[in-house]
Amino acid sequence: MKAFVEFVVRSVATRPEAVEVEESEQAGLRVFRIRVAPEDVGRVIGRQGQVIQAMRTILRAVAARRGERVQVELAQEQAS
Amino acid sequence: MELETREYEFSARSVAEAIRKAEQTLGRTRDELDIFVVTEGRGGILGLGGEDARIRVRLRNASGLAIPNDFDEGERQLAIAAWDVIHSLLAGLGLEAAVEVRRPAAGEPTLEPAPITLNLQGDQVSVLIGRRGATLASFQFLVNHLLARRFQDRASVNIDIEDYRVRRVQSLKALAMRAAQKVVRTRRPVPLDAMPAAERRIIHLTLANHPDVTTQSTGTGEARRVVVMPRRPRGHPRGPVRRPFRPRPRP
Repeated sequence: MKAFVEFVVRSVATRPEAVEVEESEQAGLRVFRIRVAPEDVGRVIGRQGQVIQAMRTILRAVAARRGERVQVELAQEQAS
Repeated sequence: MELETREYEFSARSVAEAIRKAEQTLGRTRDELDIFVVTEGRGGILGLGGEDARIRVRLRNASGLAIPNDFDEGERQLAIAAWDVIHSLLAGLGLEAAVEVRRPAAGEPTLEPAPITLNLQGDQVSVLIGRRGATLASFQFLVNHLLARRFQDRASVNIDIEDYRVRRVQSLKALAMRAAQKVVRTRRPVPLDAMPAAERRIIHLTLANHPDVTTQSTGTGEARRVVVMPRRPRGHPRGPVRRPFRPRPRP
């Protein structure tokens, strides 16, 4: 599932080399933490959140089959 | 149960050189490879301080994709590109599917607005349909969103899973006919469940030429629903007027 997140995020990013996805799992909750270049944050979210919401909907469906829950977080970096 | 998607990495002074290296090493030509640029590299001064270009490469395997004969070249390329995106998404999710390329049914209302449909088949992918096709809607959105980056003319495809959209049209038609019968029997309006615009459209079209009932959408947003109504309540000379159906852009 991490590969799915990486593929989608790298595909929408203008700086795919800056994309990092961190996966952690605790008590049936799988968390994907996405880091991208600041200028790509909006692309990962998408218009009205469509891109990140679509990822969440799909991951939730796939994980539910294994009795897992999924959380997708986008790290908001401070502009420096 | 990850699908095998072997990736190779190549680096060279420039992206073009890295691609040539990939072609030679793997014995494939450019269009048989999916190439993803990791970094474009920077030229240094006299070979110092520069950074090599890095690419990741995957063998493209669209050979199993049967494309109907009546597809033109643009549609063929669109189907292959869509297959590519679908393949990567499914591999990332650890799901396997067979992909059928087809056209939506001609001459009748469908839930497939684009001229071509990729229908995924297999036990594993049915989890991607979701309640009332909600997950499928997200999947279709993502495929087209990622495709738009390769095709400038906003070409889009329909995604179906196990012919869900075809079966959904059939059940919507049946629903419309049952509601119409009930309206005729009771002479009262019958509100249907809330549904998205494309599905409401199927109900409107199915009953457009029905002699005894008429349809209207009410409510807003997620709650918008079709109400099937008697065309003219009996004994009421000033009931709803019989009007020919005119399709609207947003039913």
